[in-house]
Amino acid sequence: MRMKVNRLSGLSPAARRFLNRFWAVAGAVSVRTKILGIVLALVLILGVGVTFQVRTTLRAALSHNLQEQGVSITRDVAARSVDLLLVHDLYGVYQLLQDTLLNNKDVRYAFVVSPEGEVLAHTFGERFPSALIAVNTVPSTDRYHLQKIATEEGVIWDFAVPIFDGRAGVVRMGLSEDAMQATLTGVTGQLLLTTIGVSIVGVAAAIFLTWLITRPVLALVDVTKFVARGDLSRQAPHWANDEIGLLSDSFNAMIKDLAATQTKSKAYNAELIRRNRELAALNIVAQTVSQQQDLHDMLESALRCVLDLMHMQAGWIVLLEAGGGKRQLACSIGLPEAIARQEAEQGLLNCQCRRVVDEKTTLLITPLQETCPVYQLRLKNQQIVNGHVAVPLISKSQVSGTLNITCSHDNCFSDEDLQLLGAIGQQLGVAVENARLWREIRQKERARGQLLEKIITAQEEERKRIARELHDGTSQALTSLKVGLKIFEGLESAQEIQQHLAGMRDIVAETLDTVHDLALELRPSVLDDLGLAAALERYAAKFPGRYPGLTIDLHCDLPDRLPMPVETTLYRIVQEAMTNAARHSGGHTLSVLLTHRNGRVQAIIEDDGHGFDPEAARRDGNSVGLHSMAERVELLGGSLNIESNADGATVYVEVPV
Amino acid sequence: MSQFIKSSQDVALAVALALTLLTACGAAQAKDLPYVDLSQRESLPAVAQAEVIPLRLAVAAVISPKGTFESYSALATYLSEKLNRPVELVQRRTYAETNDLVESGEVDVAFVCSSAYVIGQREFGMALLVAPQVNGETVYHSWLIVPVNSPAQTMTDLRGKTFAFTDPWSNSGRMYPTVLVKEMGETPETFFSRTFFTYSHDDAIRAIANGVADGAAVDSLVYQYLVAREPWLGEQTKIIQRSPPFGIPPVVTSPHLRPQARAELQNILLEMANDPAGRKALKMLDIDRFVLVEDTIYDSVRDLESQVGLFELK
Repeated sequence: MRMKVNRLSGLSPAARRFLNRFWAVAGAVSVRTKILGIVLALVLILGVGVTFQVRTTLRAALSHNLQEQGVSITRDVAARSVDLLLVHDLYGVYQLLQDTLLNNKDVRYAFVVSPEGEVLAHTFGERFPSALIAVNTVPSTDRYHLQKIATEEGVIWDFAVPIFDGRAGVVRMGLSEDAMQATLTGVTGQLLLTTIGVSIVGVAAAIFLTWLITRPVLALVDVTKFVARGDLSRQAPHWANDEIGLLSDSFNAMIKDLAATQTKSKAYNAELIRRNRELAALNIVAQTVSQQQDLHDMLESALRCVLDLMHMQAGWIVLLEAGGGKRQLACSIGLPEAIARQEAEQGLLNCQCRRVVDEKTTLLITPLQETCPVYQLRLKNQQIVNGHVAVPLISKSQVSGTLNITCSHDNCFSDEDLQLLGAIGQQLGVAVENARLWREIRQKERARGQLLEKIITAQEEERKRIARELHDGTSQALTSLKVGLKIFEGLESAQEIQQHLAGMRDIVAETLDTVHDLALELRPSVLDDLGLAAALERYAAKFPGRYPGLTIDLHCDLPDRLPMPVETTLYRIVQEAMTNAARHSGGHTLSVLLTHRNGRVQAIIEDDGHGFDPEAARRDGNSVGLHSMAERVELLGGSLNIESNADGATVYVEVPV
Repeated sequence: MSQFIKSSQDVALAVALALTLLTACGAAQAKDLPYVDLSQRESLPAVAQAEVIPLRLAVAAVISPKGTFESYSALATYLSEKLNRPVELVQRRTYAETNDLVESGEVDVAFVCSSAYVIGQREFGMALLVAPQVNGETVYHSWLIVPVNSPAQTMTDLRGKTFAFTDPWSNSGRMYPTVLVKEMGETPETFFSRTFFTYSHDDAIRAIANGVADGAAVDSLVYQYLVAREPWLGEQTKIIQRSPPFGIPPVVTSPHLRPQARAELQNILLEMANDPAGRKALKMLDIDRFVLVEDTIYDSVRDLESQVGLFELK
């Protein structure tokens, strides 16, 4: 408004007020009214203008005509009355005036005045309005004189024409304007009627026009309302290739962009929500998993959690032993235990579930095969099981089990659900793996403790043995030598001394051997000096002495020297394995083979005894030897495998060099 | 429907807006004209009697009233000056009416047709005053005229045609042609297909010249007078027959005119040719002078009139 006032600052305050007021009214009405008003105003202005112009022109023309007519009639009467007047035929003049009056509708009156001013003939009847005589005069030299006079009957055009140059008098003729006015009124009326008619047509045309113009605009406005409410499905109609059409197109393009953006935004939001849900679900599962130490409890909690998340009734988790061998039901909810167990044992054999393990993907298995244990099973909420989703529990690309959830129809799980379940499967897989590792660690911890105990015991045993060896062997030999030396004090004869010395020398030699063996047993210096192969050959050479009836078959295909830790480890492992076989297998032949190939050293110790259960021996915890062997191999990054059956046992050791 | 109602409301509003434009177009016309109340009527006042009684001079309708007025105005003025009294020129449509005026004394002096004199003299003693002399003669003729390209050679050739008479009492314009027809054993009603009266000679000549009539008989003096002033009339007409001479139309007085006045008037008229002003007035009438004539010069007219028969003329 301020801008408008500024713009109008050149105008007077009154004009400004008027314009502002006009705009307040004109600006407040609808476009339709504006157009109607403009059209109507134009038509009326045109109509009234034309009417006014025509009326003015017509009035001028009719006035001219009336004047011409008046002059003509009057002059005609003047000419025709000359002779009559000259011959004093006043009745003839009267007849002439009457005829003129009769034959000319516009003529109101006519009379003849003599040069002396006497009225010779007139058309008023018996009496005459004398005032009329003096109103109009004409010089005898003029053709005529017109004087308009006002009468009670309206305006009358009074023509005065001299007769015979005024010598015979003057004819006066009064012509009424009535006919002219009637014509004017009639024409004006016709024009106004036409104007009204045209106005009606104009209004009709304007209504049509406004309909034509405002229809797309209103449609556009409607669409904008829908858009404002968030409905982007509407399209502004394209009525014509005009500016409004272009506007509609632009608006439609805008809606399209908006819709695309909204769709993207929705998709993004949905993705966010889905991710959030997934994360929340994963978080819940993670929390659940982290709160439970026991694998079984952990899986059951996780299953419950997943069922809650998916709003499902029943499910079970199957665990696979490492190497894909045994299947075991970890937990089940909402299913009879027996069916769950049956499902766990059968499912992965001949059901499509097998694919879950093979392809490591989440599968929705529906419809179920009739052989499936949960086929057509009725759940607690009376739903019939029609299928189930099977999710692999994956860790380090290994499937450690499957998570299964029943469903009653095909559309229970969306793709997102399956994705989420896949993610949970991976989480659970890791948890299962962790739990297994944890269990393994605990086993190892326990074994290490046992090992430590054994080592301490073995050290004590060794010390006891060494003490016994020293006491039984070396001490007695030294005691014999002390006794022998005491004997020397009593001996006098050289022969006796000679004999005694020989006896003492044997004792010393024997003691020396014993000490030598003892040292060899503790740490063969040949291992340091000559290498693994030589040390094992020397050890094997002495083995039958200790374990009679046992045949040793040793083959060493090794380079000259290996790294010291490898040599030491392999020496002790082979020593342990040989000792175990000699002590426990009850076999007669012991075959030892060491080969070096592709940067690895392989040792195979095989006996033909009655065999044993390595796992049981390992779990038992009493087998310090086995643990010792395993730990030594692990320290070097190698592997230890034990195979055993009724025909004997074989220990495989492989160590990288 | 609601859309339509809304449109109607809009139309009404727009009409209201637009009609305001029309209010400026009112037609209010102020008149500043003299006012006459036509209903305020009264009896016309009687004509005031002139203080001096004018000499009333009648001129028979030999030529049309307008021509007469123009021709005789100078004479009237001259007489007025000589007599020292106004002279009123009086005309009537027919010779008979003029004769009536002379008979009743409503006119004092009159220029009449020869035949009108013959009748008036016989009926009520119309008195011969003077006669005009034209080209040195006191006679005139009746000329039978037809349109210039008419094949007619004589009256006989006008059988079955339209014939224009001048005045019923006219010697040259009515009596002479009637006699011509009668000599052929016919009457004008049977001989001509149609006849009409022009009541003046100049109108008869004009009727021929304009082809309104196929033939007419006119006063030779009038024909000459008129052709001299309006040559086209001579070009459009031709004379096919001329009558024997008749006594010229005289100036007569009413039997009621006082002898003194009559003598005075006669004297002025006879002396006119000797007076420049009088000559000027005579020139207007193509008259040489006024002379005294004997009544006998009108005998031939009387013969003709007796052949036609007065009752027929009336």
